[in-house]
Amino acid sequence: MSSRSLPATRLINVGQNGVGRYVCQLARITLRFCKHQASSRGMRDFVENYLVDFARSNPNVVVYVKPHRHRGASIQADYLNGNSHKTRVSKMDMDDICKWIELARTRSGVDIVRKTKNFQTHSPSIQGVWHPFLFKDPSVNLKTFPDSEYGRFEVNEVTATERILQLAERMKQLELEKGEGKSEKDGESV
Amino acid sequence: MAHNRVVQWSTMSRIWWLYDAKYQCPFRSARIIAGYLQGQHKPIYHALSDVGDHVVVINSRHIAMREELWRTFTFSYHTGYAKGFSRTPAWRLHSMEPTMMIEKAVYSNMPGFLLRRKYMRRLHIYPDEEVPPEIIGNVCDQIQQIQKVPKRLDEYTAEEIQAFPKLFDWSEEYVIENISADKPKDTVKAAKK
Amino acid sequence: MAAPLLRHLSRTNVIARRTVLAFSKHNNDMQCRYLRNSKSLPPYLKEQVERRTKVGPEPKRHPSAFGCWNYDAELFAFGKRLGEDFDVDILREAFISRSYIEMEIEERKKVGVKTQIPDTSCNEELSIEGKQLIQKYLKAYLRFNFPYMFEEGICAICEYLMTTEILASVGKLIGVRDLIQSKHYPPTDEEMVDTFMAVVAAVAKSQTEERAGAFVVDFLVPRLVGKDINEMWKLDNPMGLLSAVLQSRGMASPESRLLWQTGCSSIMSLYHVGIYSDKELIGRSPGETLTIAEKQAAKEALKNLMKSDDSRPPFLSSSKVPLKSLDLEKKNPSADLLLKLYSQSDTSAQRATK
Repeated sequence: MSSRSLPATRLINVGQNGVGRYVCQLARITLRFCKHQASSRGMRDFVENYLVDFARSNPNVVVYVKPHRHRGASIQADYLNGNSHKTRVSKMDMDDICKWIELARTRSGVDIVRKTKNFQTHSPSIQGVWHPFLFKDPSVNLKTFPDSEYGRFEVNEVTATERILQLAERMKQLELEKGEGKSEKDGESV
Repeated sequence: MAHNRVVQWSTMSRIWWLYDAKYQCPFRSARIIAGYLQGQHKPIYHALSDVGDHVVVINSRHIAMREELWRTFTFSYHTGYAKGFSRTPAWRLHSMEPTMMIEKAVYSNMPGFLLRRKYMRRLHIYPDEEVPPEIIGNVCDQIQQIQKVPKRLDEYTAEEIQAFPKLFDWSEEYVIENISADKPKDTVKAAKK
Repeated sequence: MAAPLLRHLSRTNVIARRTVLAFSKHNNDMQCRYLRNSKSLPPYLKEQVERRTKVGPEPKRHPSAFGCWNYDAELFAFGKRLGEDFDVDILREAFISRSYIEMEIEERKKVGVKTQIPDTSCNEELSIEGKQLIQKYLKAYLRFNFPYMFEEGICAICEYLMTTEILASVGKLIGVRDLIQSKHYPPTDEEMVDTFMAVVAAVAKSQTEERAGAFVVDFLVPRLVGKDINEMWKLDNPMGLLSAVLQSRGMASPESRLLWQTGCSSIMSLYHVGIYSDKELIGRSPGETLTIAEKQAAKEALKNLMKSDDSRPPFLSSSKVPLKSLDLEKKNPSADLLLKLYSQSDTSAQRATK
């Protein structure tokens, strides 16, 4: 199935958990295993070695241990939002089971689905969002359109005509500076 | 969230631009106008979202083309039937419909997908400076022109022409055709050449 | 609707898989022989689906129905989860709802047991106490956080946080749902709300009132994140209130000015209106029409004056609020009172001019 046909959500923080006080969302965990079968070996090891420590360090999680005769081992995690997730851990060794239980403990219990974004914010812009009049010169408001001056193309370089006029002006100046008083008949010629 | 509603309205609103096409190249202008119609000047631009603005183009009759393009640039069309091919030079099309050149140029400057027709509906072209008041009333800003509007010879006063520096004199035997009674004008013409 | 339907389908899948297993070559069970004909398989599966749909989804069952349930351990974990030390008896009482008592009395009648259950053993009294605590501490916190906000605004935010949906959802996410002793499962929203309030009262009784206040702030105030707190207070005439506020502060009366406009004769018109007092911009807002823009700009100006604008700092955490030394009775200025004062002074000024 392509990701488009699968459901997708935004990133959810259940009830803004952790903004005020953090509440571990795992309510209870049920460990099921067989006392005899080889496939439950890892779970039995976990119960023997780590379960008491786990329960002691997480007093907010109620742990139920349930032997099942001749059934595969499993972990059932019940969350505060009403969801429960079951993981089959038969034939897994103790370390893997530790990891699965750690995952169950740290999860929020929300269904695992594709996320549209990996980030989520409730205040997208503090300084205010962009609008078409942002950074626009207020003097534009006083103009009546069409305004030929305002819409005119601004030339940064000097045009040929302007160059000629400038040269002529300069020559006039030079002639004045020479103080030759009497100018020729065609004084303006270059 | 009433305030958020108006803020979003403001961000996504379409504003109205004016463009004076007087003495402007239609093809280079069209590239600019197409950008505004698609909203490429906005930080919220995205190719698939319709965030373009309105553009009102005036003086489309007075566009300018360089060199011999009025004669050599042609618009071709095929009816789809045999012998249905036609080719119209730019000057002919422009004399028939003075808004057509700009419209065609803008249309061809936009990507050919379904939003193109929507964008084109936000382009308002007027051949002269007369624009209906309900259209010009919407305008709140003007797009800068792309080339300088030249000053025509008849727009200069006689004093200005007289004061213009003379580069050289024609030899006496040089014959200037279409010589008019106005002598100073001819001298300027000669100077420009 | 989608979720139960999906559940049906997955259930039938299980059935189908089992049936297919029954057809396998190694199985010589004679009972399944008629199903070997592939023609009869689809109608069979169809029938399974139809029956399942007719029966409907399975009713939700309490976790104790599945065999693993230790109420004492759950109560202990509940206290640890919230980081509070509860008196177990009070907590136990907080979780007993009225419907549970009624159900118990009926059942005892049926069986013929004559011992009476005291009517006071349910959480009603505690929840009333808890409600007062929540209101008291929430308002005190909000007044501390927004010292310039009007009392009406504070009350509106408090009312929003006290709605059934918010309280029920907060209660659910701290885990009161499975612990409530009620006639129905899952318990109704009202029962969840009552229980949450009773839990607050239980915190106060087991420890101190300030501790309950911190509990309220920690669990209810985060629900305001991402919500527009200024819109919770429905203001009919923001311009009138704004001019009253400005007059009370000795500033010039507000003047609204059109800053920008575009598309005026189209349906997508846009106006930006700014409100000035003493030639200083105190609030601006866009709008579809001039009236809307002006009203919103007045609201923005009020927001700026109340210091509850969008760029305000985030909410204070309960550890940064001196809940012990807070004056719980002190109130912020009232908008209604200000409006009355303003209108009186206005009329007296008119008389004076006459």
